[in-house]
Amino acid sequence: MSESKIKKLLEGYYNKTLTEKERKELFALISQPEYEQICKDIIEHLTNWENGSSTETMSPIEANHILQSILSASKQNIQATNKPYPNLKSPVVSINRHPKYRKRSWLVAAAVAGLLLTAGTYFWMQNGIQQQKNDLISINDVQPGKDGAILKLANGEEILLDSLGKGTIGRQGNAEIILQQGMLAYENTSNENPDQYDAKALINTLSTPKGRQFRLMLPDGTVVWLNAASSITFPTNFSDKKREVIITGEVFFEVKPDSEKPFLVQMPNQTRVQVLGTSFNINAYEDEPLLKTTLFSGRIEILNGESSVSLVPGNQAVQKSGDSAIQILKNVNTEEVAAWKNGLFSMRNLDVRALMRQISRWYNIDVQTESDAQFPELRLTGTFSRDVPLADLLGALKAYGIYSKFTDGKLILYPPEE
Amino acid sequence: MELQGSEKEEQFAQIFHQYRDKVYSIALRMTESVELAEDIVQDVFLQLWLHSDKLSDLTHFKAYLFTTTRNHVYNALKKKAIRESTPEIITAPLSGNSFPADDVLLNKEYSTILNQAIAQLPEQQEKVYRLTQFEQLKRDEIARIMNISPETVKQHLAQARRNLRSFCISQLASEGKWGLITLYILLGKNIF
Repeated sequence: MSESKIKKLLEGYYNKTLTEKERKELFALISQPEYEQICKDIIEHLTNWENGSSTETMSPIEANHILQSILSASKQNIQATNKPYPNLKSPVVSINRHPKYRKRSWLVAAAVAGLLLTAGTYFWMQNGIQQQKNDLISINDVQPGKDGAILKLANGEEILLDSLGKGTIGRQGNAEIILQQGMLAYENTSNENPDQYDAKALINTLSTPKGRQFRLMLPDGTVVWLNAASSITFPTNFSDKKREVIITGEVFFEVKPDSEKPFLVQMPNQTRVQVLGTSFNINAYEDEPLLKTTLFSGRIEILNGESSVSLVPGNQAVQKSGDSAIQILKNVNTEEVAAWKNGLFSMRNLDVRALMRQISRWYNIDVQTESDAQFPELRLTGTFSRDVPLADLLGALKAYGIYSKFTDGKLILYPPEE
Repeated sequence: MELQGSEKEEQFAQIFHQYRDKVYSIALRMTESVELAEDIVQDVFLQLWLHSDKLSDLTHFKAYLFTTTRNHVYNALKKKAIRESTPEIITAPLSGNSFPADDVLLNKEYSTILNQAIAQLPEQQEKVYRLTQFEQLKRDEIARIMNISPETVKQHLAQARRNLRSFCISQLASEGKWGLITLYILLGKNIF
């Protein structure tokens, strides 16, 4: 990109002669740091400080406001330096956990609750009452989820895991438990044939709370991703006949191929998945209306009672909660299903309620509407990072007509103004 | 400009009124937005005021005022460019997320300063600001709670934002954090 090109575009912008396409081109260039100096030079040249006259006039009222704010800011600045904690004139609503704010902010919350109750929304009263009890958390405190889990050993001992831990964290029978790069792994250290059945195999459970995810390599080399609010129970060494695990929540499996030892996944509703070597995702959250098993590669069999179905890649088995009947969807978007393990929220014609359940699990917050009937009837399509702070995410959703406010650790959706 | 107290303020007010429309004209032309242009006027003159002790004569002062204006115009343009060239909010990086590494530090520092700033506001402005920003109440609701007209709510809020902007910038400046100021303005933190 030549200097003269930017110059031409900026001149065009200044003289308001740019086409929409040129304008886009200019804006794409402006935000690049390497053109900063060139842009500044051109602006300097264009605006012609010495000889140009004032073509526009500010509103005198606004000008005076600005002047006053400048002069008073520097005075207050001096006061603030003398007093590290300035006096609070009349805190209306708390914005942090400072205990000073708590009592009064409850009063105002109550006033607001009363106001809205007259409009007939019962929920606000509930909310007002809870406001008194809970710590006040501002929306800016709500960060996205991260790596972390709890490992429960066979003897009931619990170990907290995070992404920073490293090295051997324990031993179960013949297996050493190793944590590295945010993944938990089991290594058989006995001199015996590692494929042989280990009589000392013990049962462990790895679970994630809301707002945490984790990765695990099972003793057979199978890799497992645990989404938030999920768990997997497994032996520290598999038997020589089969590999069996129990899960809750959402789990992605990359099963190490082994035709001699089928891999079995037991879900909360008695459904089982049987595989040899393959990758698939199970979404079995209790608060999701549907239990979904999606196959990415290989082949799996789903068993429930007497019935069984087998899936080919791209198939998704769907069960209604409390119903053993299995339906099969073909050619589902597998990228969307696995998005969570790649650090993304992915939506394809996704219902707002479903998105809110995901947000609730990932940001560890409750989501409610002012009243149950008022969830926006919207379906969303798109992708965004799971790394964004809640405030940014909600700001983006606002553009789609999803309005929410964050009060007392809860996200409350409300309808847009008429 | 070696003046003290109110005399200094008077002199500054004079300069402000003499040059404000010039800065405003350039800013409006380059940003195409009255609101952004007014913000630039505020930022430019605030910076001038904070540096007034170091400016010895009129030549220096003019050059300084101009360079400051140019820089703020460029920053505003860059911010505008980032906003406009972000096609679909949801498929692109979300607002405020352009500098993820700095964000945690920024947010912490920012909220400390912002809290101080809010506490310095006149009572009515503070109330309106808190109800708007933290309770996310609408203008009509605030008017009812505070028993004032919606128009007054609007004015209080506008003046509260002006005051917060000035306070936060001068606070950061007094700590020598000019880099942070630029970053805040670019990120479009809610008061900037």
